[in-house]
Amino acid sequence: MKETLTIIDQMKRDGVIKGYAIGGAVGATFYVEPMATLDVDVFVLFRQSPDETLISLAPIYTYCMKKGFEARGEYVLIGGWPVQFLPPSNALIDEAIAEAVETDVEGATTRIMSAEHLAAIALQLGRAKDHARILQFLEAGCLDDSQFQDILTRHGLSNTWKRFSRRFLEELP
Amino acid sequence: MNEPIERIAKSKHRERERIAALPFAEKIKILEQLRNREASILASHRTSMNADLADRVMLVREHQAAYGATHKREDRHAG
Repeated sequence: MKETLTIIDQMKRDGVIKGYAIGGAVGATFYVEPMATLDVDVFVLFRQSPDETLISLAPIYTYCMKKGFEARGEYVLIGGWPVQFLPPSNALIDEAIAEAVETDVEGATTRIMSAEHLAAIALQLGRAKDHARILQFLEAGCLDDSQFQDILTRHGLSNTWKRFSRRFLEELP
Repeated sequence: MNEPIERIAKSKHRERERIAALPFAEKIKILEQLRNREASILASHRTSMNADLADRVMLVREHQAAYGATHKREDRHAG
């Protein structure tokens, strides 16, 4: 994993991408107990000129191929981990990348999404495993409630949160 | 919840808290172990699926061979 994180950060320093943040299960592992996953989700911001409307992952793939990493479908195999590079699909993910936490893993610098952003993205995605992740965050007490509510309000997720709370939190014994 | 179950639940919760509080680098090592285990489960599932498929192919071939032999006999009788 150290090699994986080093290469991803190197990509930013080499100017291939403008910014990035680790999300998904690997990102969540920063805050709660590790959860089984087969891949690393990296959300990336690209260097784009204003007239470019289409986002292409080609520069990332070219960079990785030059470094000898193998592409497998939508993944690039880096340091034994299939890495999926994901362009931001909405303002919440843009913000999550911008406000990611910088940390160090055995000498490798990396950027992890904040717990509040990870929980908000999980709420937005709304699959069973995302709901389980939110509950894990709540149980671990790693969410700053005012910051989380602020994110939910800004990204129009307050009603989704109310539904989630009614379904999973109010009916707890 | 009865008392023994509650004790087990509390002990599991404590263990999860302990793991969650580990440094990220340590948790990454656990993540790698989980990934390897998951990958080996998937690989063994694929192997058993392939074995099942191979068994089925053999069965179909045996049936086809038996069916072909019967038909050849019937053809000879008809002729």
